[in-house]
Amino acid sequence: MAISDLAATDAQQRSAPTAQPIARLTDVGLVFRDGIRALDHFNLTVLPGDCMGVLGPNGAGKTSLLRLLAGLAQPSAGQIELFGMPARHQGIVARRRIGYVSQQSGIDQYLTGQGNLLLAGRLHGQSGGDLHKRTELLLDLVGLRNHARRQAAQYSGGMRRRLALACSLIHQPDLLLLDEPTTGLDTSGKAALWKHLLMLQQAGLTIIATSHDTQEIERYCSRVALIDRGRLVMEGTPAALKAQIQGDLLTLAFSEAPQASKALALLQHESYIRSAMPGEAETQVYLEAPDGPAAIPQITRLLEASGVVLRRLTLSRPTLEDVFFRATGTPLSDSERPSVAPTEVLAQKSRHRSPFRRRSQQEVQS
Amino acid sequence: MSQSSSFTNATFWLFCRAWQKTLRLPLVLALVLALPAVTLWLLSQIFASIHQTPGFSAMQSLSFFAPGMLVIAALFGSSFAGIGLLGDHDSGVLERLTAAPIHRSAILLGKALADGSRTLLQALTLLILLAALHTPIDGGPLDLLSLLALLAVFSLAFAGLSYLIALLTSSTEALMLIEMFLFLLLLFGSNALLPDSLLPGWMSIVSLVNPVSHTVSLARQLLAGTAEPLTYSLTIGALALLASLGISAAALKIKHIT
Repeated sequence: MAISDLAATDAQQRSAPTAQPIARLTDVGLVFRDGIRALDHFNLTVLPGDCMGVLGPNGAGKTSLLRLLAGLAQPSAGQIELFGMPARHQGIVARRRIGYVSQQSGIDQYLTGQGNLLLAGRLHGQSGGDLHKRTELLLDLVGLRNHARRQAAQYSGGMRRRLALACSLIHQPDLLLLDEPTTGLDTSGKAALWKHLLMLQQAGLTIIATSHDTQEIERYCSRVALIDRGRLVMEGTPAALKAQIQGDLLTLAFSEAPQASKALALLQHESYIRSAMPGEAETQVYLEAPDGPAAIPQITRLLEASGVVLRRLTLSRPTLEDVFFRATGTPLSDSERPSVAPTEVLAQKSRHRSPFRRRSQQEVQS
Repeated sequence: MSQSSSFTNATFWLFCRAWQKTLRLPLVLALVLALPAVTLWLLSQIFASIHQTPGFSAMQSLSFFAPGMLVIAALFGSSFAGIGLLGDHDSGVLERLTAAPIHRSAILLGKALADGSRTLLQALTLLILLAALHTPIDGGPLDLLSLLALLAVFSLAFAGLSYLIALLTSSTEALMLIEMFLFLLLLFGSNALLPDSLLPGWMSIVSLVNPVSHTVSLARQLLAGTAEPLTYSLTIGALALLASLGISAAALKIKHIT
């Protein structure tokens, strides 16, 4: 109840939405003092009401992007427009309309949960009964009402992140910048947080969130920006990005690299394969097939006939990670890669779909 | 909703926040308040026979050391003010404050004022103690108020310097070493422990350009009721200039560190 109240009041007080972009970056560059280019000719437009997920490997420039928008860093090249005006000339004015949660959360451990919210509100020029009412609402939103008078130092990691989110919403921002908002949260915590964020988005809040978690970005964000080495690789709705890979993805694993390259050469020109490319590891080959399950027996037959020993074959629906890999040739994240494949089929034996496979399809449909 | 706090309001709330932080650990506050009194007592014991030393003839040890102690306590407290700032930097609090629609110098000023007011509490405790011990204080109420104001501005100046060093090095270890070095240099190169007449030749030159010496001399004159308005204005003006330079430079630096 309280949460929808919050969304409703925010919607009432927010100025009428316009088609004008909330944020527009044109040819933006950011060079650190040690010469490292955090962002390079970076272009991105965020429209009102977008929930933009920013996806990229570590060091791609995700945090730098948010820090530029929050006014915590100045671009070394290019232009940033916020709310239709150049950010350079706005200073404090733009910061009034932006909520920012860093990876560190930045909670004041010496204050209570409520104290943190009150301080945040006061620094935004709020006071009195309005501030207290809003504080209560936000504590409800993030489920911390019962812990409001406890020292933030005693909070768990998840509670601190939720408190940081509440603090960033105290002034009813028009643009919310979240750096890895769900890191350290369990699955139900993530779902709850996104539920609240989407409700706020419905009320007109524009959100830009970075994440490592491809699945949550796919599920909750209306748009995705894939970034790599300081550049925008691709931008669009998750469905549109995934539509670039039509059909299914097959990952072939061999015990030796020469076998992999031989298999690649063999399969490249087969009619049931849309495209074939070397995988992340030397012993892997990635294939895109319009109909994966139908292609499996044909692949195994061809390889067997040529004396190539296939060790393992994995079939999966394309994810944003696959889109990223196809566009950049580098994996989004080394550690997350193996866990992504929803299905593992032993090539020689199994021709039916596994239960995992069915679940993954349901997820895609919902 | 596009509001932001005025500079004064933001400074005030950040001042309160710094005090809330101090009050979390009452033991620290108790030690801070006891420090000058304990040191003063120790010094007066060590130098119990100091009357016989040539240059000390007309002085009572307690009233000679008390002003020096007040200034040293202020110097010590504010020298390490930067540690708290680095703590806020490491916990991400500083970044969150920097992202708020407030002037960055308000972040530092609020903190410095809290540190300065702690010095004032120290000074008040010591003055009350001195009165209780029947130490001759010839300065009137106006002199004592001026003394408190002097100590507050002195604290702001050295807190500003400490913030600047903290933000330049962004390392607690480096800050401690640099500040300890400065502290010892300023302490022993001053007339806080010895009268000017007893300082060896080159040290009296150091003492001449040492803000601690000027502040201690002025504090002695204020307690004795012999301070000249001109000396007072010049000293407090110079300290205020130092404070605003330090805090502004640190505020400029804040952008790069967060």
